[in-house]
Amino acid sequence: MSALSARLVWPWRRPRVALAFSPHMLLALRAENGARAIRRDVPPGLLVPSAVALNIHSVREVARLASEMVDELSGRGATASVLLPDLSVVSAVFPPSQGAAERDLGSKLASRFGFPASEARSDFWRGGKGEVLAAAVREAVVRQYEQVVEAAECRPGWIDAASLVRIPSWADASESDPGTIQVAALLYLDHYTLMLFRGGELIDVRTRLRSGDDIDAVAAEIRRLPAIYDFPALGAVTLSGEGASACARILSESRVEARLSLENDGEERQLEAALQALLQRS
Amino acid sequence: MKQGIHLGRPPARSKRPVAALLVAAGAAALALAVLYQRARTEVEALAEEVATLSESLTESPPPSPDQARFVAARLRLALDSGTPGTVAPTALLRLVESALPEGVLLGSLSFNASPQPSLTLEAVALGGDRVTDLERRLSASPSVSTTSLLEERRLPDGRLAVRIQVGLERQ
Repeated sequence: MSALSARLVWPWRRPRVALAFSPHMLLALRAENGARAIRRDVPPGLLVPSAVALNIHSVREVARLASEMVDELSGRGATASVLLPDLSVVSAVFPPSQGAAERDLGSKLASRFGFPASEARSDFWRGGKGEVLAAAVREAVVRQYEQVVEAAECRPGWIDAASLVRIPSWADASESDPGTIQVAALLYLDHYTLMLFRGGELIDVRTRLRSGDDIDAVAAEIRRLPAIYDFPALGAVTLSGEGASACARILSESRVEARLSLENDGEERQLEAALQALLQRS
Repeated sequence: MKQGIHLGRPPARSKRPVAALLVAAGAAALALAVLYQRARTEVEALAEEVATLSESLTESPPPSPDQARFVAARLRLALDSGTPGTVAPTALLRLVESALPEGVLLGSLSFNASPQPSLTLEAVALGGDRVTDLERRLSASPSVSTTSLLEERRLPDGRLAVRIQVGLERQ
C-alpha cells in the first residue's frame, strides 16, 4: 500500500520514523517519504555501547540531536522505532531441538547477562524451522534511548538491534538454497556481526569487537566457522560494511571456496538498510 | 509469526481488557445506584405517606385497658354519687365506642351528672362529614336525648377538633 493511500485509509495514524544509534552517528528515516536517512555525527565519548553500563553520557545532548532530526523529518508526535547498537544487546540462538517455552529459554539467556536477570527486558523471535533468537537489554540501558525518543516528542515503537533486525528477512532469503551454509558478515567501525543460516534456519549470531585495521582477524574468524560449527564448508559469504572488500580479498586469497558477495558501503549505509527493514514492520 | 525482536515496553493493548472491565463495572455500579436511589425514593415516599396516616389516626393513643378501667371507675363513681337511674358506665363506654366513625379519634370523655346527665366528648376528625356522622350515630342511640356541637376548630394540620355534649336519657 502506498504512503498516500495508507494516509487516506488511516488518516489518524501517527507518522512513523526510525532512529538508529551508533557511537559515531545518529540516523533517522521517515516511513512515508522514502528518502534517504538523515544523519548527525555523535561527538566521541557521548555514546558508548555496552550491555551492562549506561550507554549515553548526556541524554540531553543526544536528545537535542534527535529532536533536530525529528523536526527535519516533520516527525513530532510520530511513533519512533529504535535500533540499538548491537553491543548494547545480549543475544543467543537456540536450535529447534531446544524449542522449549520462552520462560525456559529466558533462564538460559540470563546466564549470559552481566547484570541481574530481574533488570533485563527480553524478547524472542521464533524462526520458520523452530529455532529461537533471544535478545535482552538491561532496563536502565534501554530506558536512556527511550528518554531520547520521548524528549524528541515521539512515542517509542519497535526497539531492536542494528544487526538483529535484518535476521528474519535473511532467514527467508536463505530458504531458497537449502543445502548451503550461508554467512552474512556485517562490518561496523567498532564491531562486526556474523550470522549463519542453513536452508532458512538461523544457526547462530556472533558479535565481536573490532580494533583498528583488523580485517585479517575478521577474515580469520570467518575461516574458522566450519570448524566451530562442524560444517564441511561454507557455501556463501555476504560481506557488507566497513572493509568488506578488503575482507573479501583476504578470503579469496586464502582459497575459501564459498561464493563471495560484498557491499562495500560503510556503516551509514548498513544502518540505513537496517532502518528500512525496521520500518517495513507494521 | 512475529516480525522480529521487540525490546520495547510491553504493548499497551494488554491493558484494554482491564479497562473494558473497569468501564463495565463502573456502568453496572452506576445503574445499580440509579435503581437503588429510585427504590429508596419510592420507599421514602411510602414511609412518609404511612407516617402521615399514622399520625392522623393516632394523634392521641388509644386508651390502654388501665385507662379504660380508670374512666369507667370515674364514671361509676359519678353515677353512684346520687344519680340513680342513669345509664350504666359500661353501657356509656360501649355507646361512645360504637358511635365513633372511622377517622375520628376520641381525645377525652367526661360525665356531667347535673343538671341533666350528659357526656362531653372531645375528639379530632379528618373532616366535617365525620363529625356529622358521629352526631348522627350518637343521636340514633335510645340512651341519647340530644347532641350539641359545643366547639369546632381547625387544627394546623387541617383536621377538625370538636367538643360535643351528649344529653343522656334517664333510665
